[in-house]
Amino acid sequence: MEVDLGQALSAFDAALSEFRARLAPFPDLLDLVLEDTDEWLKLLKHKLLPHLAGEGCLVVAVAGGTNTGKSTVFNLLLGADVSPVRDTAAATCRPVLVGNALRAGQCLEGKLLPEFQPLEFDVAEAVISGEAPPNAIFVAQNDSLPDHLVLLDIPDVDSIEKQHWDVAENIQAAGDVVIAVLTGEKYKDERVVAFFRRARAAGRVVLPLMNKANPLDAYASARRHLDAFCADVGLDHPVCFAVPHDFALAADFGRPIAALEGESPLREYLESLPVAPIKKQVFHDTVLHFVALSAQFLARSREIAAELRGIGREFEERAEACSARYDPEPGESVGKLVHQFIQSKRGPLSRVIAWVGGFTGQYLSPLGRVISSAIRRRSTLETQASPNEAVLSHHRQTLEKLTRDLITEYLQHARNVRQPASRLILEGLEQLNDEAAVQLVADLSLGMESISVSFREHARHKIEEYWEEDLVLRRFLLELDAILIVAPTAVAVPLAYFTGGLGVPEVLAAAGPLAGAFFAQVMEHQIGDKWFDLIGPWRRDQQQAYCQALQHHLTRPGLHRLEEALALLEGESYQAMRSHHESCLIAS
Amino acid sequence: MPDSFMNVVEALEGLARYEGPWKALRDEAPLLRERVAELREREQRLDDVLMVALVGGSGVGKSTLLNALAGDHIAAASEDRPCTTVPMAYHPPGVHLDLDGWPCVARSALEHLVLIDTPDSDTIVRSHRALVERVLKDCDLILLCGSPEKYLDEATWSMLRPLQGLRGLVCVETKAEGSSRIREHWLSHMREQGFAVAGYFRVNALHTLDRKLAGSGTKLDEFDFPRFEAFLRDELTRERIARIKRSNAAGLLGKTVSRLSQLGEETAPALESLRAKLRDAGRDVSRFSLDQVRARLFAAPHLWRFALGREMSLRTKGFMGGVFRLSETLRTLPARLPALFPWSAARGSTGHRAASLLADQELFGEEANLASEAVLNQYRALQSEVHLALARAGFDPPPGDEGLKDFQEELNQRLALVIRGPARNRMVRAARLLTSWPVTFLLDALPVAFIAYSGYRVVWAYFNEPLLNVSFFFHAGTVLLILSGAELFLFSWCARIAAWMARRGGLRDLRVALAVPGLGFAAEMRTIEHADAVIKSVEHMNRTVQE
Repeated sequence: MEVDLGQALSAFDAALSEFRARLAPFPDLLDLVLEDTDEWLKLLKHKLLPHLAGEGCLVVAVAGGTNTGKSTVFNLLLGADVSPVRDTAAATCRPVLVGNALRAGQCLEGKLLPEFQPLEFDVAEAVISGEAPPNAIFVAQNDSLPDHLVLLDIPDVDSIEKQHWDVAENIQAAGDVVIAVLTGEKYKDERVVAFFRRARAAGRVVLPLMNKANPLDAYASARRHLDAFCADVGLDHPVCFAVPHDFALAADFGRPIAALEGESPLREYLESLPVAPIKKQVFHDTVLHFVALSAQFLARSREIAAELRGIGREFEERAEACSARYDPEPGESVGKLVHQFIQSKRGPLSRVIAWVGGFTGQYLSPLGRVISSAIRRRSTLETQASPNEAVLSHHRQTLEKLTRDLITEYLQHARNVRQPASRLILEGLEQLNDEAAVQLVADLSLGMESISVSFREHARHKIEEYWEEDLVLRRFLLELDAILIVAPTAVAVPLAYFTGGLGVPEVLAAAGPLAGAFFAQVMEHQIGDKWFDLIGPWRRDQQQAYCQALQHHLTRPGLHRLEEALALLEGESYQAMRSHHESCLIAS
Repeated sequence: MPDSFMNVVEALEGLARYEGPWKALRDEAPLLRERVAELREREQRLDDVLMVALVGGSGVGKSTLLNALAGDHIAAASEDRPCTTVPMAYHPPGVHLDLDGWPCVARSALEHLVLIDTPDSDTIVRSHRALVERVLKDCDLILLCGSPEKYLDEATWSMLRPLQGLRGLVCVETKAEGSSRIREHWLSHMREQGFAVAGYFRVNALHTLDRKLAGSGTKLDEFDFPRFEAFLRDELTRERIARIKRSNAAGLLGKTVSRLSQLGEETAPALESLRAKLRDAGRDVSRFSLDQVRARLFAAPHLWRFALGREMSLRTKGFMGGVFRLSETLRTLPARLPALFPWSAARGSTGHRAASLLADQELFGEEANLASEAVLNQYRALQSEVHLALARAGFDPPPGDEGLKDFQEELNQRLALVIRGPARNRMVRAARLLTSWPVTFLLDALPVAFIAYSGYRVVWAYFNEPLLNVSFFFHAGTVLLILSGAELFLFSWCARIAAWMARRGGLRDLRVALAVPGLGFAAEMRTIEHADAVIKSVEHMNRTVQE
């Protein structure tokens, strides 16, 4: 069982460090993901993995708030003046480890607590000065200790020197038994209680010790305080110890630390603890605690990823809404196209008649053109730009405006979403070259040719489709066209024949086809505009092209930081962590 | 408080109500409101008593210190933690305080002082911290209590850090025994973290209380207590209290203003580039509006000929005048036709509107709208550019539709002013010149002379046989037609040239009218101006406060 668990744990650790390394370019996100993970990360690093290295001896840590006398208690426990004692608060800066020759040697070789940098304990001032590296541990030798016991004096957990907190938490994670040094003033402090509550939850054996206790009333107030402490931390009737405040402590290290109940002093109690079961129990509890906490971490990472994804999705939706606001006009009538199409599908008779009409019209049309253009020129008092160019530039300007408005909207929205998504998106948008993106999007959505060319292509294609699919419509249109073309001629020709006279038959014979072609054109224009819903689909196509261009060249570059973060957050290393976590769960 | 100080507070109050488009300032507003409210409150309480808060970790002896000052057991003190659960005020009689129903003891002999005992700042009972924070918010002076065991706890320090420079601070070392071993350590840490300590006293409140209860004289084991009591009683005079309060308020004001001024410094460069951008945009608007007007509305001369023809038709006199009026009526028929057909597309086009303005007649009776869709579209595009720049600089752009409407109105107004004014005047002048009496005489001289001569010939022939034959009338008519036709042609060309000149002049006027800044982006400009004014006022406040 243990081999499996060990492999799973180290695999998990490897995956985790890879995960962290990959997320390193996103410090905000990393902080958010790793929020509240300190505790189990330390357990993993300082307890679970070193334990697997195979060393087995009971590590007893003396912990507590600042100025409660941890070092004094430590020295009493050891029966020698090792750790420096000062009146001022937050004196001990680095942990001090004491073991017998064997253990001290092992520690100095880096075998016992591999995560720390062992330094030989020579001058007491080094412990206090805080000049040693943060992961340093001072190792002293004391041969009165048995093989299976090492003692640790650790810095405070609640002073304004926050570095001490870190050191304390790290080394606490490495310990098996924690002696909670309390005083009458400091047994209910939030940070102290929280520290031991965490130690307890992580499976450590916590032994409360009331320092500077008043022995006069048979430790009555000390007992009360200890009970309150045990209730707060969640300890179930542990063995409690007390050190009276009238000890001449600085001089007399030989005095034992007595338990409140029973005879056995603390040192003997520690020596008598069964090493293997305790270690096993502590390890087991630690693993359970670790698994539970890291499961929370994994779930939290997934939640964050889901939230980021949701925010990204919101931006995409905004782009979609923006493209729906684009409402292009083809600048060309559908009816004209339908008429042209039907013209090309006419039967022989109507084709001949229409040709005659067209032939006649050919001679009349220049005159009509001159008259109509003269009237038009005089009737409009303003010069019109050429329609095609005007349509194109109008669409271009509209597209540019919509795109710029979208970027504006993105910027405003990005400032309103939660951190760190906001910062990630703003970073992405910062790198965006607005004008280049706007021009690119406009180019892509308008295509290379003018609007009316693309519309004509599209319409021709669609009309052909209708023509092939809808046989009823096809017959109706052809018949209508034939009737319109033939009917005036059919009326005019007999009329000409019967009336006779100079010029009349010729005029009527030409007027019939002319009228037929005119009627057909008018009717087919009307039908084309009313019946063929070509503008709608074309408009949708144009909108879609615009939407795609937006997503490709605006949303994606704008959100690329977010996407990168998301890819890392849900990437291989996360999956690896998950699978290794599952195997840890099974193994434990 | 000096007037300049109150002026700054008033200016801050104005900023606290800010709800405009500057996002960073809007985000700042709630905090600002809070600060201003506090400043106002502090200003009102300036002549009031000094609120002194006893603050420290659990078990350092805050309540005991209060008891020792009172010489009686007024606050509960015990060795179980935490002991005090609600703040308690100790003040001289006759002072009225509104303290949420916290217990008060009105027996203090310390005039002008309200001592408030607070619960602890560090135990697991978290609600106590909120109470302490409440007291800290209202107090003027902090008596920071620390025992040799408990003076460097993060829990207490973390509550003091936000108040750095905003409250007077006095350290009281409680449970003093023997020589002080923590004084230097404590004070050095205080200095390191930037706290200014106004005093340091070592006391042993338990000894003092015992002594006071026993009623005997001062003893040695009370350490600095007599000095401490004297400090509270004698040194905290009215002037000193006022000074403390003023310095607290000044600290708060300085902190608030420096925060704002930092914001202003961060935004100033962006504002400058925005201003340049807006200037360019304003120039662009003038340019493309003029381009559009020149290339579309006033491009072809027929708009002007139409208007000039109308003006001349109203004034023409004589024979040729009549002929001209007739030809003008026929010529402009297509342009006037749309007015008759309600469904006509040309009806209400910008050209027709311009013509009706130029000729000062109600062609359609509609609101004059001269901004064509093309101009508006171009404005929209430019507006989006400006709005993007605003958003980049951290401002919410003003609503686009309103800006567009403003621009349209402004453009219409300017165009209408020019067309109705100088352009129309040119037109009328030209029409007057062309229809003046000398010109009329000049034009009419030949045809009228010819008609008169022909008439004379007809009458002469009537009285002296034979009568003139048909060919005379035919030829005379032809000559008259050619004569009047040639004159009409000449006259029309003169009108054409006059119209062309009027158009040139009108365009010059338009160029001048459109080049005046402020054609578009009024709301955007206001946004920037306001932000600029805010930055300037903040700078001014900062200078005032620093002085």
